[in-house]
Amino acid sequence: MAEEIITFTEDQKTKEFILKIFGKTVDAEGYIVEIDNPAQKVLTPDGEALLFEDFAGVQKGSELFIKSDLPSIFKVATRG
Amino acid sequence: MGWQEFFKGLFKADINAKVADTVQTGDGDTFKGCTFVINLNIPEAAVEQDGKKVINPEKLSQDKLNMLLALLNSRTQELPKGETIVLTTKDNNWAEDIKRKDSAPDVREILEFYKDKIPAADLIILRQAMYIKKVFLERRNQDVRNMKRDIRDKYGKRGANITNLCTAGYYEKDFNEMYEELSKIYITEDKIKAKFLSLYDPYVDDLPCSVFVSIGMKEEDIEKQIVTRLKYGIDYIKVHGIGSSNVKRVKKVISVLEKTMSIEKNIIDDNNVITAELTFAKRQED
Repeated sequence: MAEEIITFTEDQKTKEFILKIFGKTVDAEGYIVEIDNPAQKVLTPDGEALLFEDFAGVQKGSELFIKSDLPSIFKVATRG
Repeated sequence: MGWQEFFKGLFKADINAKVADTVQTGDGDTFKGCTFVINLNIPEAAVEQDGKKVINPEKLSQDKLNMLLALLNSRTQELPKGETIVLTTKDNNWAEDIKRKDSAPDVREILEFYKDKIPAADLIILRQAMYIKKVFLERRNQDVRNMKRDIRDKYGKRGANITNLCTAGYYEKDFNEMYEELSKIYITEDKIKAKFLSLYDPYVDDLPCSVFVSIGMKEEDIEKQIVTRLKYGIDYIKVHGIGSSNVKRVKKVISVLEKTMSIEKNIIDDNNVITAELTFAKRQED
C-alpha cells in the first residue's frame, strides 16, 4: 500500500465528489457511468457493472473501480 | 507542490506542527504513514478527529481545492499499478481487519499446509473463508452472512461449500486427518497428494457426508438432505447448524429420524453452534 492512505466517508455527497474527480457520475439505474458518455458503465476488474451503493474506491490500473465485497477488499488488503 | 504545502495553514498551529513532523519523516512531499479522510459533511475545511486529518473540499479556498485535486491527480499518475488511490473509510477499516486476521499464525499454518495440496482457486477461497471464520468467532453474524453471500456470488456453490467446511473446522481436522491417514498408506508425496485430491475434490463439490443447515431450510429440507445421503449408502453424516433456531430444528429432525432409525449420536451443542455426528445403523423399513 502507498505510504499515505486517503479515505473518504460513505455518504452520498462525498462518494459523488470522489467519482466526479475521476470523471464519473451515476445514471438513473444507480450504476456508475462516464460523465462524458453516460451510456458507458464503469466496470470492476471482473468486468462487472458497478452500482453506486457498492462503490468502495479506486485502484491504479489505469483506473480500476473497486466493489465493496469480500473478494475485492481481500484483494486490496493482501496485495503485495 | 506537495502535501506539506497543501496542509500549511489548514490546521491549528499545534496540529500543523504534527503534520509538518509527519511530512518531514517522508521526503517532504510524501504524507508518510498518515491517513486523511475526505468528508463533505463536516462544517470546517479541515479538522483532526481520532488522529486522522479530515478535509472537506467544499469548504477549502479555491487555491487549496485546486492543490488537492492536483495532488490526487498526481497520485493517480504516479502510483504503481494495482495500488489503491482512494478507498471508503469503512472499506479501508475492513482491509486493515483482513490484514490483521490473515496474518494470524493459525491462518498462516493452515494455508501453508494446503498450499500444494488443493487447487489454487480453492486456496484463494479458503483464505477468505478463514477470515470469515475469525469474524464469526467475534459473533459478527450479519457480517458473516454478507460475506458468505459475497463468496457464493463470486465463486458459486463450490465457494459456499468451502466456506461452510472451513467454518465447521474441516480444514483444521477432517481433511488434515484424511491426509495423515493417506500418508500411512502411500509412500511417495506425489501419490499421497494425488489420492488426497481425488477424495477432497468431489467432497467439496457434493459434501457427501455433511449437511449444513441454513436459515431458509425447513425441517423437511434438513430431513430430505439426510435421507438422500442414506439412499446413496452413506451411513455417517455430520449435520452442522449455527444459531438457536437452526440448532432447534437440527435436534427436532434427529428426534424424528430416531423414531424410524437406529442412530448412534455424538452431538456437540456449544453456544448455539451444533455439530451432530450421526451414524445410522439400520433403518426399520429395510
